[in-house]
Amino acid sequence: MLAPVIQITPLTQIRRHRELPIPGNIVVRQGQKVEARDVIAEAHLEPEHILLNIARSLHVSPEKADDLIQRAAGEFVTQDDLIAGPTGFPKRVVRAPRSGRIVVAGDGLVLLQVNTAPYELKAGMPGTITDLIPDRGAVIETTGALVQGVWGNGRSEFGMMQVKLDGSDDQLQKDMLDVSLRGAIVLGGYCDDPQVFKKAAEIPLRGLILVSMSAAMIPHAQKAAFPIIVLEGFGFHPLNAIGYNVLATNNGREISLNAEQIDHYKGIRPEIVIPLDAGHTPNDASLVVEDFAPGQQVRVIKAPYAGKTGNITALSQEPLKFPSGIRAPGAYITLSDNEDVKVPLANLEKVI
Amino acid sequence: MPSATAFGRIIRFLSHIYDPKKGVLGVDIGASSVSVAAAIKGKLALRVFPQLGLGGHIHQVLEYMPLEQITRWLPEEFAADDVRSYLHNKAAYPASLPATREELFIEQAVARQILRLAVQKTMSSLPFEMKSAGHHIVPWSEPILASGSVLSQAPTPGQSLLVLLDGLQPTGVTTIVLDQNNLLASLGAAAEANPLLVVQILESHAFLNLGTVIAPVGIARARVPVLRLRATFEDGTETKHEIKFGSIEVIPLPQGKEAQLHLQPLHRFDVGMGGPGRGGRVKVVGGALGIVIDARGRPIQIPSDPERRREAMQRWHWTLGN
Repeated sequence: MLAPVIQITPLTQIRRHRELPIPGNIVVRQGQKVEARDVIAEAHLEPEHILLNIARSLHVSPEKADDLIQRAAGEFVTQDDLIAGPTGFPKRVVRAPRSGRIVVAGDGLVLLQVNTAPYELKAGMPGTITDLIPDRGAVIETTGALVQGVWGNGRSEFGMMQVKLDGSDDQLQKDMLDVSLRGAIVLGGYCDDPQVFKKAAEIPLRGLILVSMSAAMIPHAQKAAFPIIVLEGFGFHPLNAIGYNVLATNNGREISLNAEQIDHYKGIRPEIVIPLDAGHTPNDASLVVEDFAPGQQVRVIKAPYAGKTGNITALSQEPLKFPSGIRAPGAYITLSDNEDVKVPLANLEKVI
Repeated sequence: MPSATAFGRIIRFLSHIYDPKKGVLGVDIGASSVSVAAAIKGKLALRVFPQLGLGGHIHQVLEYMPLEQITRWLPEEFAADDVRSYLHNKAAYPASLPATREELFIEQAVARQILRLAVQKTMSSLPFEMKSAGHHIVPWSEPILASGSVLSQAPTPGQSLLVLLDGLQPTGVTTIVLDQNNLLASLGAAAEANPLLVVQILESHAFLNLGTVIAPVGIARARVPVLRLRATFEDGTETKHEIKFGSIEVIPLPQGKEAQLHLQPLHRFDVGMGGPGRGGRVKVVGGALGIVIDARGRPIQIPSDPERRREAMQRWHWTLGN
């Protein structure tokens, strides 16, 4: 069985595609160095439209209004440009309420698409633009530590990480947050108190990384204005030893927090990128696709060993029976605490 | 061809072969959707519910039903947050398997409820020729085909059958067949090119006959006898049974063996033999669980008291699930 992958590594080459959802303008060039908050592309995602009722405004019939319309579909106008008229006494005219483009004109109506502020696609992490994706975005590369998670609320930010985690099974409480953390991205343990998010917004923090979270907190996390990543999942889970080491040793560094929703088809996961100057270009281990095999380091994704990491010692030749009664292909694993267990292959991901 | 279309094609095909007075039902509980197909004399009703699935969108089922409608099927007490956490973790890892008893209970409880919801929403679309004992009660159908990994990979056939009895709530006398190798959609796609192949595979051991189910429809107080049953086996032996309301009973009958049943409903319960209180004889074939009588009522009368409800769930699990 092909091994799905989670990246928890102190140093790797990181290559990420940043793309607009619709065609737009790219504002960077190949080879350019960018910071996390630099704009790399922009597009008008949600055009706004205004419908001008020329007939009603000029107090004429729709047929007469069509004769009075001075613009045609496709024309660009600026604010206050004449659209229709003059007619009547006193003279009545219709002017453009805002700048934009005439989409359609007829039957006494004019549809105007108005200019809105463009959506700006940011780099999301510091690095070098290695490739451009025509009309859509760019590929950015960097080296550094990478820790992927399980859930994110869709936002992204860049800032200094502050670790508020004494042990891998700690719990984050609101009195652990204070104004000294203003502008920081805080790594905390398990969270089940909405007041933590409220306090984080008041300080304000730039982001939150939680080891695990109560599922009841999801609506609060989705409303938060800052990115929130959950590393191990929902319900109480301690942080795996590998992730703990990578994050704890990078306390105080600038990090990029990209809290995208997990998408197994596109290979997208919420992740923390910690840019580091390696002095050389390490390999990108994520490019290797292979089956599960003895010796691999793995992470268990479900109970009763959810979040624990270990090494595969052997793969079962026949389906194994598990406490639930189901039979499935499995692996024998020695966990990081030296416990020997068996786990379904479907409940493992390879750690690279 | 979309798999749901192929699935519906098989159900329509079978409706030409089996009892024209009863329809054929099919249910598929998948990762991305639940499909319900019902056909009688070649008339098919097929509904697909993409918002109800056990995979990457499983957490969204809570937008269509309160959590209590899932937790009522659990045989043990679970904290609400544990159930929610399971749903969201499963959504993040849709291909993962329940390795613990607790996770299996939750996954099967979700399967029951999404099947229940899908069937209820399909009722208004059924061909009018399909008759039932009342509004919102599944019509008399035979056979019933069931597909989906939550059923085919269940630890025991009894657990698969119990999920179907709880979620689908079939009525009357029927046979439930499990698509244990997930072949139905493929057969539906192949049927146009090679219908003979389809018939041969349907009659092979590729599908598992879970058993004959007898579900009398009516209401009574708990432990009131609602059905008398006399079973005569191939070797001439005979057994008599009095089935009480609220119970599930199993009469052993090995796979492939036949028995003659004489059914006598009491208190105007209806077993689909011509009206309330009317019984009769029927020949049945044994399946993995023999003959199963589900006298819990339609809809199933689940005790409202949480302790009594869990006791009932455990009793039903022990009778069939283990």
